[in-house]
Order: sequence, then structure tokens, then C-alpha cells
Amino acid sequence: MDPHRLTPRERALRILGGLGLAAVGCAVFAISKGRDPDNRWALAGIVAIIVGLSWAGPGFRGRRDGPVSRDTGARPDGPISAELTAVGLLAAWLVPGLGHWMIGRRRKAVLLFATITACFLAGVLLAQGRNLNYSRDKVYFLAYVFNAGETALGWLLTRSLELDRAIPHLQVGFLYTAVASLLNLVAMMDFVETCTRSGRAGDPGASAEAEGEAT
Amino acid sequence: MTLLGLLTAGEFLFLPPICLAIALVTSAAHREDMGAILRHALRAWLVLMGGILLFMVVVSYLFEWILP
Repeated sequence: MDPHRLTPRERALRILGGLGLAAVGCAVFAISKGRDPDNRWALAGIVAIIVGLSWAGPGFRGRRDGPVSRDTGARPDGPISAELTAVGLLAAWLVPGLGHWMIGRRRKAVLLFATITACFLAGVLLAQGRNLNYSRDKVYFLAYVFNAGETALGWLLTRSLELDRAIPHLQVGFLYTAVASLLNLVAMMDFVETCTRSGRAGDPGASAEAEGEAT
Repeated sequence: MTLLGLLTAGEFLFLPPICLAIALVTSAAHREDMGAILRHALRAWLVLMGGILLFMVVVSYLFEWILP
């Protein structure tokens, strides 16, 4: 018997409980925002919605393990050394996707680079280059540090710009750039996980992809 | 604000692209096959947008009906 499969009772509990918690979260959000637009209790509502939906999700799927499926068709690569992992991690920190490129996951590297860079550039354009100033936006720099190369390059190119007029989509620009940087953190974690996985027996690595590119 | 007003508000139009970026990068994790990544990203994007729309519908009705 599959240990991850949920019984009908567990599924019903998860779906009803999760959706109920999400509904309460929506009500908290609406009521708190309706009374005062700056009410911080709205955050509690959002947290309740996220927890509720993450609780209900496995109920809809009928399984308690994650929705991530691993490819099992590809044969394993050779193990990736710790040195290459460290150098690749540094490269991925500087340029999104460069770590994956170095270990042969080239199509994935291009996808990560294109997605993260497009999102980062869109943020800079929306904010008209005013969102990469450390002294002005210290909190956002906590996210930007995960995309060091693009942030440094953007800062060099836009450091002379001052916030001397109202920019209509400044906050959206901050959001896009910060999300792009945090997505690079996800890409870096995937790189490290891929390197770790490649060192184990039975690794479902990307040798098929690498072979396809080599031919 | 009506639902139509929410959907046509300028800020909402910025959500689909950023949701697509999130869906693509998070779907790439743990997967190597590009077809599988794109299929999962499309599904994740639809779920994200559907969830946001549902949230907006619920909150807009709550604003209309519960609050004075």
C-alpha cells in the first residue's frame, strides 16, 4: 500500500479544514482592510489563507507527499565534485543559471537566466532605475543580495539617478526586482541539490539532456 | 470596488507576468525535462492566477456585503 496516499476521511478533513481556514483568512483580510487600509492584521489573514490552501492542497491531490515529480528516465551523470559545486554556486550567484550551464544543464540554464533576468529588468524599467539604491531601499537589498551580479551591474548603471519625481509603478518595480532576486535563490538551491543528487547512486540526472546536446 | 474594477485596475495587470516567472523557476526545480518543466509551469501559473482571482472575488464580495 502506498504510504503517501490519503484515506477518504483524511482528504475530506484536509479539504474542509483548509478551505475553512482560507475563508476565515479572507474574512480577516477584508474586515481589517475595510476598517483601516494600513491595518497589519491583514497579514494574519494572508498567512491563514496560505496555511489553509497548503493544508487543502494534498487533500485535493489525494497524497501527502509533495507535488514535485522527479524524472527517472535519465541515466545518472558522474558525481560532481565539491569544488565544482562551490564554483558553480558562486557563478549562479553572479549570473542566474550559470551554475546549471557549468554542469551541463544548458537548456535549464537558459530558461533560468531568461526568466530571472527578464523579471529583474522589468522591475528596473518599471521603477525607472530608482530601485537599486542601497541607502534608499535597505530592506529590498536583503532580497537583492541573492542576485549579486545583476544588482551590482544595475547599481553601477543607475547610481546617479535620484528619486526626484513621482514614479507611478515604483513599488511594482521593487516587487519585480526583489522577486527576481529571490527566484535566483531558488535556482541556486536547485543547483546545489542537483550537484548533491548527482553524487548519489541512482541519480535521475540530466545525462539524457547533456547527451542530446552533445550529439 | 466591483470585481470588474479590480480586474481592470492597473496593479492587477502586473500580476500575470510575475506569476509566470515564479511558476517557471519553481517548476524547474527538481526537473530536467524541458517539456515537463513547461507543462508544470503552465499548470502552476493557471493555479496561481486562479487562486488570486478567487481571493479577489471573495474579498470583493466581503467588502460589498459584510462591511457597511
